[in-house]
Amino acid sequence: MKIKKSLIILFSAIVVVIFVYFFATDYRNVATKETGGIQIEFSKEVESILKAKADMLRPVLMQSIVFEEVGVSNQKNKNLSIEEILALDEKFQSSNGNGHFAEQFLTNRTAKTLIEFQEDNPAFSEIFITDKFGLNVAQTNKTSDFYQADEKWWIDSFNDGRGKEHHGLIEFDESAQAEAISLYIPIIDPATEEAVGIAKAVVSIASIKMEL
Amino acid sequence: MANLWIFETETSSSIRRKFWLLLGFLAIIFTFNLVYGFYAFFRISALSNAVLEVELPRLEGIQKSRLAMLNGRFTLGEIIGFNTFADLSRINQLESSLKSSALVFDAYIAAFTWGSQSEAFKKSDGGLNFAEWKRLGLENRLIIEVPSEKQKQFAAVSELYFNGFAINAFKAVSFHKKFLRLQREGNSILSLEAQETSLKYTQKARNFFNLALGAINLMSEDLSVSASNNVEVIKSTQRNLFLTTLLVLVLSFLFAVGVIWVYAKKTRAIIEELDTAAKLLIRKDREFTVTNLELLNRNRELNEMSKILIGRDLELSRSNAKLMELDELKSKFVSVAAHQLRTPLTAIKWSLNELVEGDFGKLKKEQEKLVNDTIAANNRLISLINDLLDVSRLEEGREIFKMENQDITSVLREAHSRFQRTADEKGINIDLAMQLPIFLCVFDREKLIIALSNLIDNAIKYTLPGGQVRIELMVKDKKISISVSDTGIGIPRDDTGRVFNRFFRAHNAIMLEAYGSGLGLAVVKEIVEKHGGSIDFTSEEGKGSVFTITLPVIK
Repeated sequence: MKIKKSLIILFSAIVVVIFVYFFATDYRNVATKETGGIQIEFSKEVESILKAKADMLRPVLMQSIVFEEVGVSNQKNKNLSIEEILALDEKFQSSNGNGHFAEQFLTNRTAKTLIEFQEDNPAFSEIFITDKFGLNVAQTNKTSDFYQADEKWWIDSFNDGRGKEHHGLIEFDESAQAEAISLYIPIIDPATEEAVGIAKAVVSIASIKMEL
Repeated sequence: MANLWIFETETSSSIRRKFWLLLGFLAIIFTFNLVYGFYAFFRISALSNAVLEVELPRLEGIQKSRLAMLNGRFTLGEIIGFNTFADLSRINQLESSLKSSALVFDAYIAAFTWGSQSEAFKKSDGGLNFAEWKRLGLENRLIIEVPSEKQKQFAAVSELYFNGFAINAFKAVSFHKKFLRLQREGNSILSLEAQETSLKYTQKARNFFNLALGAINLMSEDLSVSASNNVEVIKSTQRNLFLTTLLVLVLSFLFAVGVIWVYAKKTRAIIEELDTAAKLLIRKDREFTVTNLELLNRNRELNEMSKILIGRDLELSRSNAKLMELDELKSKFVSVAAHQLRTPLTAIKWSLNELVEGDFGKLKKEQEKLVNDTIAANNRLISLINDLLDVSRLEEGREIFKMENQDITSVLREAHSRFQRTADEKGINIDLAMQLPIFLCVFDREKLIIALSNLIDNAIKYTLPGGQVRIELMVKDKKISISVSDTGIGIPRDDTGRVFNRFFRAHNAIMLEAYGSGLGLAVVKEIVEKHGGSIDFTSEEGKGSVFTITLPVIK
């Protein structure tokens, strides 16, 4: 009787293993379906247009006022704890109207410089600058977040302080309500050759199309 | 049958246990299969929906977009191919077709890519394409499901490039028309410049077309891979479902076969047991029948024998009655004869004694010897007659035993002293040995003295002069043991079985002593048994005998 029981248990175990195998096989098939990253390269025409747009913006970013205000921000924020940063981010997101917390970043001298540039170059639907901690310094439009260092583009662009210029893929820009490509340009201190801040500029696809 | 019933009960219980065990096992398998079946059903439904409702329409949209692209590309080629101003109206028509191709492309790309009508509307140059959607009947075919980021990028890039194609194509067409107009006006220099510019934009448009085609091909390939993956998963799930169902069916079949086999095996075992039991019963029945017949025969024989035995019994009873009657007659005869003989013998004894004593004158020596011999013979006759009377009385139960509590040692002393003189006369030493000086118990003194006297008389009688007679009393285990031993002639082995028979005398005894009744030991035995005791003896011819009376101690 004992042998018969053992055989039945063994048989049941085999059946269970078979079913688990089938479940696992199906799960693996589904899991492997979404493989492969996005490897899209723009044509040289598009790349040259984007490079031209970056070249247009770079002189603005090299202005002393930008370095000055980015430097002040770096100095001011260097001892902030993550809790304080998150508190500031929340405060930024909830602020609106005149005199609010976010207004200072829309009205400082760097912001004014950027807005002036934007007015002359409508292809740039949005421009903003962060310090080396990922906190906003100046912006043409109120961004959704105050803290940017938790986003991949910022991390890639900061590149551990060495700085790396690149651009993103085509995405829908909510503020401009249009398709756009973002340019990420590090602000490099010529003296130390270290990134002291990061600039993000959103270039509309419509403007790129016009130049094709 | 009882054993068979127990066996059957145990077997049924065992089968039930196995059946439930197997059923439980099967239930587990069925549950698994059911769960897997539901899983597979929903999986296949979701994937089929993805393939049929999303991926295939998207591929269809891509195909339509690609056709629009190709149409635009060929249209541009056709336009550039016209070389005379007379073809201008045709060129204008083709230019409209080119615009239409661009719109169709945008419409399909937006409709099948961006996920919702509003999103698509916003992301495809606003209302410009909406009219085209309506013209193409696409407003109700917008795919609700949001595409993957990869698909979005492919769509956006292909759209960007095809826009690049369209913009440059329109520029090329514009300069080609200018070239044809200047050519007709005869301005060859400017016309050549316009033609060169047209060709430059055409080339640029072709480059963007190739880029757009590449992007849309990648998008198509990605979608195809996704769709084929889903189809593969559907097939795999279908195959697995089929295999699991097949497995369950096979297991169910095996289960059914197993149950039938177990039942068949056990049922066969029961039937075999029943068959064996039935055969056993039949055999036993036959045996019983045979035995019964034998018993009937035996019974018949017994009945016959019984009748014979009853007849014999009756005959025996009759014979016994006759014998008893004869015995009684004999006893009466002996009694009467003894009584009748003893009286005259006593009278003769007295008369002879008077003669010897000289009451009738002195007898001569020869006369005296003759009378003495006659007196001795008369005494033997009187002794014989006394023995006969004792036996007769004892047998008839007429002898009354006076059982009294008294000293048994005095009996032995009296018997010893009675025969002391006789033993001395014969030159025999007679001893008395008693364990106790006095011992009280219940017995008939007179009868016990007769019994002891007979034993001692025999011992002296059959012991040669110089021999030894010993009387001994022992009390042990509530029993009195009186033994009389001698160193006499003993009893021959062949005669030991008849020693206590009346009138029996051993042949060596007859040779030694011609006179004797053969009644002494019979009288002893009767007396001892009337006391509830027994008598036994050991003897060896030529060496002597030991007679032992054993009596119960009664207080």
